[in-house]
Amino acid sequence: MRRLALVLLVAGCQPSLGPPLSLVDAARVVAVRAEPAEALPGASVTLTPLVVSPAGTVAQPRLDWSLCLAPKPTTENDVVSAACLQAGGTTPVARGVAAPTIALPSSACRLFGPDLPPEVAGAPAPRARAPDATGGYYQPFVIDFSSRLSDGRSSMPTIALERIRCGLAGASMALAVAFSLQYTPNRNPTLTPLGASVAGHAVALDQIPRGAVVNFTVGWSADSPERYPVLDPLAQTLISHREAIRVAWLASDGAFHDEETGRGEDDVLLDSANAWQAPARATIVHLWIVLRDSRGGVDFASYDLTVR
Amino acid sequence: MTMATATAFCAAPVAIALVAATLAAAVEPPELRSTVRGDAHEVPAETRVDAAEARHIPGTEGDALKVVESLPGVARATLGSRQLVVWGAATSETKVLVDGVEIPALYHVGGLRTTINSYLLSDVTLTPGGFTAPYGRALGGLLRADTVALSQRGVHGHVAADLLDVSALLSAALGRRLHIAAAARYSWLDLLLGKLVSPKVQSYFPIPRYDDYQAKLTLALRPGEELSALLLASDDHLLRSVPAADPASARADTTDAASYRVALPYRLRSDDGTTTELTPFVGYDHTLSQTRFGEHPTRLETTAVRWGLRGSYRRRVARLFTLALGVDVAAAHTRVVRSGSLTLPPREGDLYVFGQPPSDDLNRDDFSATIVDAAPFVQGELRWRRLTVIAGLRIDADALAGNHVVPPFGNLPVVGFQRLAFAADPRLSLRLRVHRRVVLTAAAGLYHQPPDAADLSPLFGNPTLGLMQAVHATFGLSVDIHEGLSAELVGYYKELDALVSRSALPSPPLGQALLQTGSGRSYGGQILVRQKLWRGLSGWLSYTVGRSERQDHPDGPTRLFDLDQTHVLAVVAGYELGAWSFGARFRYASGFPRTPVVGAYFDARDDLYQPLFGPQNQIRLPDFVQLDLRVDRRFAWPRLALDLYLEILNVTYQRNPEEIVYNERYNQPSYITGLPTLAILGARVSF
Repeated sequence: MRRLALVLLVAGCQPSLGPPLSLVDAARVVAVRAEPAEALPGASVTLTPLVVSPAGTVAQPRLDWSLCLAPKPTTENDVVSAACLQAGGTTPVARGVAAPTIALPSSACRLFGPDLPPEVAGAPAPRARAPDATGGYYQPFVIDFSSRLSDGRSSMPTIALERIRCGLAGASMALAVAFSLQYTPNRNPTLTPLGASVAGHAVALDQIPRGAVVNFTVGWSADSPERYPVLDPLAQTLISHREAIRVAWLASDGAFHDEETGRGEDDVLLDSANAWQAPARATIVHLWIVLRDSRGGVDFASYDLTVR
Repeated sequence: MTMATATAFCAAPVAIALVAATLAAAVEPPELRSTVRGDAHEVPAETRVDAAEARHIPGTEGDALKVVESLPGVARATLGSRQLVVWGAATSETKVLVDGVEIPALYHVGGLRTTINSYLLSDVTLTPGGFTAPYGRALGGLLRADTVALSQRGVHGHVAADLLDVSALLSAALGRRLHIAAAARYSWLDLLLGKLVSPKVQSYFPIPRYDDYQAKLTLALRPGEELSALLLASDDHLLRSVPAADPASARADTTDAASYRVALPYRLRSDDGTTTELTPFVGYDHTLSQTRFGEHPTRLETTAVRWGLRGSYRRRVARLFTLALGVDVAAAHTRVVRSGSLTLPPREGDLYVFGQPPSDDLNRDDFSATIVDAAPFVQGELRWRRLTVIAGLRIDADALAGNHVVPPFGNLPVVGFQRLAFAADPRLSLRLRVHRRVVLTAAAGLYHQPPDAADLSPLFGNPTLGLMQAVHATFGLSVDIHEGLSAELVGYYKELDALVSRSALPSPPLGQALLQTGSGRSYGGQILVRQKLWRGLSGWLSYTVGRSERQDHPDGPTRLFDLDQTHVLAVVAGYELGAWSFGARFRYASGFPRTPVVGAYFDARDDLYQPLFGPQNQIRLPDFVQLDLRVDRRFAWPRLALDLYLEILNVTYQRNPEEIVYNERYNQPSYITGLPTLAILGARVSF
């Protein structure tokens, strides 16, 4: 089907796709930062969401948090099982809480990682679950915002994924030892302050000219893109990778040139830029920046822009 | 991509086509003109079209094999796809044979052209089901193309060019016994459009690049005895790259395909009508499908070395009885290198929506599999008065072997597998002329097909997969109405079993990501009303109504086949008036089923929305309607002829939806529409 979708573009016409995601036109969860960013099964993690709305950041959002314990079937293409989004498919762990601290299931590596379930006599051997491209496994959380919206509107559920530290599947003992020596659990990246300029001249965030094209630049600390090893099971070698960094840009008004920018894993620069078309009228615009690394680490920041 | 840019690109194909689709030149050596064969066929719904006739049908752009799109029993394929959906069977379940040698694909990538030069073809025969014992390894239908008899004298050339490609053909008689023809084609659409369209537009509208070449050599050994050599080759390349400011959002797709066949057909026809045919062949196929959705890489590369042999001995052993003995052997040693999600490439029955990134699991496998299928067959033909009975038995003996029965694990030694599978396929075909103008036909049989070598992966598939099975039953009524006007009514039923489907378990056991638990059925009817050339008029009307269903697991729900199409109507008409000829084709088809998106959730790690699906295949794309017109004008001189033609596709500018596309939040569906009105003006010179 995907190949079909590709060839459709050869001669067909793609219709309009609607307003960009970077425009915040309703309250929604746009990011969740876990601390620590990677944890062992059974460990506690604190999940801090970023909830945005046209009126600005929702300071103390009341959210319902659930653990999903359903592994994803191979027939499904999504990141989590559809059962995680069905009534009764999750285990509630916190209700009406902004930033709960939740204990990861001790069975997380068996449910979502490479740990094999117990073998049954006479049955075929179970298989280890495959990691993602960074070698990671993730415990899903479901965040329900619907019942907490003051205007009674429904909101899409949000899935947060906490990276869990599991063993290494498909490796020799020597490789497994080498991996454990080289591997450093993921840490959240760190944003540095936002810079803005118009026509090459720096501009203060409370002095944005109306209708101007503003060039924003955001950076991150030098230790944000971490190095980590990934097993190549066919070659039986460890390959060293460096985290890529993604920047998501959101605003309550105006229009970004790109909804996301970033740096690939081979790009050593520590910042990323984006252009933003300011509204043609004087107003206050709320701006959010979400920084993500390849292994699920998150940082975010919010700014109020004054358009004059 | 923003809304504005997406909309702007829609105008590009129209303008490009109108500006660039103006040059075409072809040379058609008169000696290579094919001949119309007899209409008599033993199997209901078998349709044979002369290649010369097919080349003039609107919508084929002179490509004879594309006539199959207008034949009864064939679903209208999505624009630009390589699908050949016959009586509700998957594309991989229908075999395409050229002079008895199987080729992997009818179309080049992008579906713009078929892979065989039309001027080397004599005729095209489609058998949607119920085919006889000499043919197998297909649960669906059979498409056969026969090459043309080569020129008996002189040297003739053929040069052709149009918007899509440039081609050449050379035919020569080297003495009285040795005849040779060679053809080659190379696409230049990418070169032409590269001058007109910016690289950014091309990143969204990838232009396929392809070439194919064929050669045929015929050596007349004795009267009735002939040895030939046949070369069939095809190459494809398609690259699509969608850059992004965020490298993790960039997408790239690469599709490469190459296929080569060399065959040595030998034919001996004795004075008493006894025929002996023997066609050994060797081949090599390579396919690469590589996709990168940001940080999610997917790669599937297969390399296959093939060889085979088709042989038959047919002799009349009694006044009313003819016996045929033969063997059909096909073997392939395939190496498969695959990495990425288990869900990509997708399979029939997968829940998927246009543009959805693949799942993030990364698996890797590198394995080899060998499948040897040897199928001896015997067939008896009884012709008694108005009755013809063809009874046959085909025994498929399959040897399947691979070098991995479980995925490699650490430093543990790998263990391979090998096993045998047998299938006995009886076939029966009846033909009864109940009246001078009325013939009843019926056919039934058992059919088997070996698994795809790529599905034998211990990680992505299942090394224990065996033969898939189908039962076909068809019946027909054909009436010769008047002066070449005939009508045929056919009903069909197919039962499919042991189909390969995905395991629904969250963590399937090793080597069981795929299971052979699927089943299905397709049934329906079709009518073909055909007018042979009569007073300048020719054409046909075909209408098929059908339904195709699948059940992935015995206790699972029954759903519509992904490519089910309830109604398919095609009306093709041509009229010759002196040096002028006019043609028209009208097509109507139901839309393919699609699974509705009933909601979405936000994936905070990847910063994207994911769809939530409703009941599988419960909605359909809107109906497809298209009218194509063609006019030809021929100028003839003693040794030279010039043909001018104008072909207009989608005359009524119908905005046919080809696919459903959602916005990023999956709450606003829309359609990708197909071809706009497209005019192709060309010229053809023959000498």
